[in-house]
Amino acid sequence: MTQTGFRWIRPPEQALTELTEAYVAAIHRGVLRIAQGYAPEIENWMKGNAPWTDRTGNARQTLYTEVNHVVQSMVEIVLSHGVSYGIYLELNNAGRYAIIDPALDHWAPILWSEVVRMLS
Amino acid sequence: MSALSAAKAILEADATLLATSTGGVWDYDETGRLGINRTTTPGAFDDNKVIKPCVLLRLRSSEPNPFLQDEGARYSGVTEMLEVWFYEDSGYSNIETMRDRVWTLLHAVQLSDTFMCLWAGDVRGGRDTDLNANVERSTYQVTTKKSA
Repeated sequence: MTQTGFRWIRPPEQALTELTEAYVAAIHRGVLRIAQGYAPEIENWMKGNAPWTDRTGNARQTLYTEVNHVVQSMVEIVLSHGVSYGIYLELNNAGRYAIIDPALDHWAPILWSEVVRMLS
Repeated sequence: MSALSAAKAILEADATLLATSTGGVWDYDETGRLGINRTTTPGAFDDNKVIKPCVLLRLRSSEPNPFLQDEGARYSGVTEMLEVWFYEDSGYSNIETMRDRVWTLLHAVQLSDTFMCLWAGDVRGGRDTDLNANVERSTYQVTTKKSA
């Protein structure tokens, strides 16, 4: 009687580890691509929607976003003021001139739905 | 009843919070666009015009929730960010007491006609230079709905 069967070229435990690492890396690249794609759009949105009346224009023009790798598997988008008094725009008058938090409120669900779409 | 007015009603009814928040519990409709100030909210200040520990509620944003949508029924989930601002003249001890009490009263509580109200973070150790007072802020996320 002829024997049938198969022989692993690469053991499953090794292949699974490699494939998982590749999948995680692909997710990371995808998240990074989303962050890099949206960061300029978020910056433009902040500059366009900052609720104060410009005096010098510095506060509006120096609003910025920045994409960082925090650790190997984490991506962050920093939203920030470029002027020293930005903190007072955020906190004085109960946030009447705030722009960072409204930007987070507006963009967080959009970014999250992009991540969900990427994973589905 | 809006999420903000429901939350305000809860805070105003709590004797423990009011024992610390001697300057009152306010909302942005009452204070006007400047927030707490000596003209529209004189009750938040003592006879020397120094601010008393007080609380201000404000609806920061109302954004569509992309995961709760039914276009056929014209139903949209809405995520509202409710800000609770805490003030005192100097130090942060009263602010901390008020902030902790508000968390007890609002976090994981279902407000009228909403899903759970969830704590979404604090800004600590701030200074309102216009008001010349210390300030901190808690944010609560409330998911509610908009429909025809």
